[in-house]
Amino acid sequence: MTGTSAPPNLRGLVSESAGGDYGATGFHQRHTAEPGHIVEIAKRFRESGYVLEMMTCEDRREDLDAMRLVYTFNRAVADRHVVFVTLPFGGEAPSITGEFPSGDWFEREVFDMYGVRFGGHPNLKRILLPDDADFHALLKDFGRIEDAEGGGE
Amino acid sequence: MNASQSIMPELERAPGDERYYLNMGPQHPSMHGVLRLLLTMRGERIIKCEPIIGYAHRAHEKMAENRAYIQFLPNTSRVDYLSGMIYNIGYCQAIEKMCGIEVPERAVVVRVIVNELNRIQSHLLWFGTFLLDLGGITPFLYCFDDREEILSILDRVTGSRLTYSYGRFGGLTRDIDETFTEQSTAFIARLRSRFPMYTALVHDNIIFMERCKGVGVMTPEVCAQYGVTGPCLRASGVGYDVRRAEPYGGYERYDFEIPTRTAGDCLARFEVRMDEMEQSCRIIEQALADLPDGDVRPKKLVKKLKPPVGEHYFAVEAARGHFGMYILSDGSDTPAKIKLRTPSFSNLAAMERVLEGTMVADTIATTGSIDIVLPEIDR
Amino acid sequence: MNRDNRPAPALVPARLTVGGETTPVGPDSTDQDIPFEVRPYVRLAVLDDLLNAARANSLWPLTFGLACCAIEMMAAGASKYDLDRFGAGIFRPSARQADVMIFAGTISRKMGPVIKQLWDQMPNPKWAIAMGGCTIDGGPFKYPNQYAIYEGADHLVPVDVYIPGCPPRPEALINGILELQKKIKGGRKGRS
Repeated sequence: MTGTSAPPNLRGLVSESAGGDYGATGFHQRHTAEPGHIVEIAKRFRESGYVLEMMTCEDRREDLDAMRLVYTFNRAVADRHVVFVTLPFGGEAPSITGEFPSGDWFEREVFDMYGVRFGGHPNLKRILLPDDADFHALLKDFGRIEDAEGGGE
Repeated sequence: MNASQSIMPELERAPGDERYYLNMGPQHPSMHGVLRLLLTMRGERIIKCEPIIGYAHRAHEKMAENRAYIQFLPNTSRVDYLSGMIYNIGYCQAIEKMCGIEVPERAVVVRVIVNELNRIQSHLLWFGTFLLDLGGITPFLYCFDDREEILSILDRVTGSRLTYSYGRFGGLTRDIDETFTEQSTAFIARLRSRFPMYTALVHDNIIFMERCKGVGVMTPEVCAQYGVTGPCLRASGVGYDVRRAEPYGGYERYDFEIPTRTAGDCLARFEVRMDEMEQSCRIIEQALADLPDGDVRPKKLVKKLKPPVGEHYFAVEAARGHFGMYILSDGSDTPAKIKLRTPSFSNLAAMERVLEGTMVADTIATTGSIDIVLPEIDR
Repeated sequence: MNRDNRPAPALVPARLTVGGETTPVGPDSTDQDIPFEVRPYVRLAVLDDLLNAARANSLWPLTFGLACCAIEMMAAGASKYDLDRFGAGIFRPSARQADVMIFAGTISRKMGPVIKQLWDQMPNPKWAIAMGGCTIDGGPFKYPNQYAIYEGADHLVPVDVYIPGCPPRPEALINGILELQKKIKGGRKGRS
């Protein structure tokens, strides 16, 4: 992480950019992008000295009818950029492992928990659940308390 | 499965190939928890190291989606039980920031004190188990002795030794008293008097130096590629600490250094953690002197949280690094999603790179020196 | 019935049926209840008691910390709560050299086959202590449709002593080991 680098120029790669209201949400900048651009976005962040802080996914099938990937980039002098990438359920996103090796495990976890596949990932297999698990744990329709035998609590 | 079928066909190798596979864990003498390292080796050299995790997966994130914010409190301590207080209070701080809940002044300061005591306790335990991994049994007993002091101090106030639910949204459950202040001051004096002993016993020990100096070097580039944070990053020269980068919870009032080293080896990580214990002592002293009067309990009891809709992120500096919580809220008192960005997950991912080409005995030293807690990785 | 209305898993039979003969097995049974075929061949009377006392006072636990309870197990082995004075301070990393498996921590599904393997590797006589709420019935991680863990160590191995707590204090672990010692001295060689 370098300290005083300038944020990358993401014009043309993101469809929407806004100040993040850090005091309320913890993000300095928010961006929305298409899946096809995420590798180039990651490259620009890496070249500007940012680090992939976190990557996760949200199951938004109920309200957005899609899955949403969340990437957070940050550097030593805090400047947290969050990039939201909406992906249709069952769709595939490109892997950013080439830009950030940390993406390897983050993407494996997203695959494990949400079933989202990443094209070009060197080793896309389960990471937390047993290898022979046949479910994706954090999907909203899996493992609900209401569905337990006995009707739950 | 019959004898002619291979259990893992991808591990098959041609005759004459001198590589072999060594499986370390998930049950293993070194004290990291249920980590499995699948090592591809030739002789004593590691060609490839693949950490296999998931043996401590307890579905924290699924549980977060299944219950109210307040009901998730006990889980937070158990994610990383060695920084249990920091995680617990960090979660409370995240919710407070998200919902705009005010915290009484005294609670802010008491939180700093118990957090730093927790950090010292975690580093002490790491110190003992690191030496145990290297084969030295004696320091383990000394540091656990010191650690028991902290645990009795915190036990008296919170009721728990290891996994705390001391924080509440807007404050803490119980106040500290005179005895706590006396005991903490006495403990700091005692710990400071033990540091020379630890230096003489461990740091200046020739075997320790041989096993740690130049071993397991993590360059700043590797750290950036894998998102390594915490003492591992600071030992590689980057002075990133969430308490300085994004001040929270009153830390901006206190004068403390961020210890760094440049070597990036096991010895550097060791020295950074020892220095951090001293800095934590400094913070506690300042906080104890700074303690305002008042109540620590929440000003207003929040029966049902009404967080704003949207995405929120909050980070604290845990003993192992940057612990972040990404909370997606749909306005109800049950989170739509909580992602726990734990430091050990990223720190361990870097091991794939760092351990290539090293010798197997150095694997123990390096994996021990990065200080991982498996349940935090697996959540 | 469990809290969530599922029937309790049938694990350890309450009755032992050998050769068509069924006898009770449990705290109320006596040596006469053991069917003839499985009674010990040779009974050494006082020597049996001596052997049991030796086994009880030199329990060697397997280093098997899974999660938070492992830290309290380590604290129990450290200087303040010294397990060594009970003979149980030698933690063996190899299952072949261990007598007792202390389940310290939540047991995830991925860990199940590993535990079976370790348990099978342990030579008889062996015992199991379930330390902490997670190993009793899932503890704080128990909820309906929990997918990730075994709600209790007794889903996998027959447990001899259960120690409640989250995590149990080191004194509680010592109490559990003393209970196990009582159980061993009482004549039960444990089950495999």
